[in-house]
Amino acid sequence: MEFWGLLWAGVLVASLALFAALAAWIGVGAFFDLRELLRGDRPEPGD
Amino acid sequence: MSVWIAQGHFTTLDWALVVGYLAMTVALALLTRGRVSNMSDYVVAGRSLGTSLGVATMIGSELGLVTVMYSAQKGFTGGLAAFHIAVVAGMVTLLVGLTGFIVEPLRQHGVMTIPEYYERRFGRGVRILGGLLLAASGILNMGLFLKAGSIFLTSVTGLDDPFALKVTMTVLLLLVLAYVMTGGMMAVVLTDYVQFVVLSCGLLLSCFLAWRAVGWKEIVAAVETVHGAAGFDPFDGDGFGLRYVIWMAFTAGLVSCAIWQTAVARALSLRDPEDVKRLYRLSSVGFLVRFLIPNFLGVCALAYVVGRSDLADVFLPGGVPAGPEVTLAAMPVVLAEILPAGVLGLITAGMLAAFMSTHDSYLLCWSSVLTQDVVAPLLGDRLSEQARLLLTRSLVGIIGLFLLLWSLWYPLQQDLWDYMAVTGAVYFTGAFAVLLLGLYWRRASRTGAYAALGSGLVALTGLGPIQELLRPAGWPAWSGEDAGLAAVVLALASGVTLSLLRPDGVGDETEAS
Repeated sequence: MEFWGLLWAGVLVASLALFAALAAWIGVGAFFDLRELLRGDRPEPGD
Repeated sequence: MSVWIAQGHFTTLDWALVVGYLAMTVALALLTRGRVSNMSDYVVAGRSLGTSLGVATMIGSELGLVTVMYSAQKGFTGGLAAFHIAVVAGMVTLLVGLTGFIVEPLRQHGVMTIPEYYERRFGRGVRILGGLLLAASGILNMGLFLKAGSIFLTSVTGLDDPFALKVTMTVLLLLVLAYVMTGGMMAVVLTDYVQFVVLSCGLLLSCFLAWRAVGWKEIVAAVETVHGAAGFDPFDGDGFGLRYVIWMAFTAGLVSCAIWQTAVARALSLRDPEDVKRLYRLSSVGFLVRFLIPNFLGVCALAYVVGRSDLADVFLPGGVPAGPEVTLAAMPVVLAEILPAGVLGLITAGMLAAFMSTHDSYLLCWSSVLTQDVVAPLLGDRLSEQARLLLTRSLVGIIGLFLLLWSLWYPLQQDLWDYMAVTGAVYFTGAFAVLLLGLYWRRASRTGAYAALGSGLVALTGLGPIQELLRPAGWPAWSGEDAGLAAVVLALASGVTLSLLRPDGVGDETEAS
């Protein structure tokens, strides 16, 4: 049980840290995507 | 209805935050009015999403109140071992992101829905059957969302007047219907983005506050007391067991990200097909934490309840978790106890807006599948764009009415997540086989596709009320994962066998031939 307890604690801390970093990065990028979408700019695929 | 009402924790400040936040969300969504001119705009936002927005809306849509409720329930009833669901979900999504398995070739076909692909590969009849099964399974799957939402609201706010509760839930549903009918996918994307930002911050903060309120040592001790070794080891047969872990790798992993239409819709909405794998690689962290954070909140609720005899009498009678409708309320009740005023209001507002956000994605998805994949093909594609839009919007309203009735009527006899996995399996067990064979095996035939889709109905025997009707006297009961895994094997076996026995003829109207 000690092994599993340590494993799950590690999984939890690592996942939350990774998610916090990713959410900040994606949140900013998505804001600019959203602004472009609402303006009606529709670049062709590959642009 | 919850059996425990957390009186006095929800302050006027919290209510003000809830009302203000919901009003802002709906106002934002209504801003998209007038941006919808055809079905492509309505269903896949004109295929104009960038990768970051695709990831944010995918996580915003899939990380809803219902996900938080059923995953927290799994943490409460399964202990830390429930974390395996999150781990396999994240790992499988990452694998899909690395390989492009199913989703990349699907996006390259340029389809709006999975049944549309069925038509290109296997013909119109397969599309209609696939569309019907997908919509029926999807609507049943969201059938208890309102119940989960009302349990959350009751438990957190102490709103114990049944009439006021019904009015509140109905108003929330009507608000969703209003903006999905007008704005379609544009409105969904906008509200999903707001959800993503608020819930990401709110849930991370809740984790920290919940951990601070109970402490890791107390969590480990509570799991050991209530669940023993099975609360830590997911392979322990007294808890989840190996078959359940395999079932989760399939449902919470592969199906959730690559076969379930609401998630695949994001991949199909991407501007550039090349971005599909990137979307999945980035989303894998989201698919991990969408289970992990609520699992953890559920485990924290367990530890908190163990330390409070008045709560333990309700949620752990005799030292074991109570019935499904009671354990669903454990996490929100404990959140109401441990979160300070203001934070509780913000989390509740975020959860309720997430509740609406999940509803909007699902309502849009199933109504557009019924229009595009069932009604339009049945009418020989004679429906105009405007008629399709009108029909899709009408179906949104009809499905909403069904949800109100179903959530009041259906008795929940298993954990909410297991109910959802089984109802979803009616569609996704067959769909998995049809997509796998169709995309990667040239000899897959129309007859094989019909057989694989039909095999998914076997999964229905995993539902308590249906099993009670069908199980012969003296037979032992079987679990949802047994029924689901049997349906997967049957769908693959029948799809391959019938494709070999009855290959498509020269005159068959399919892309492959």
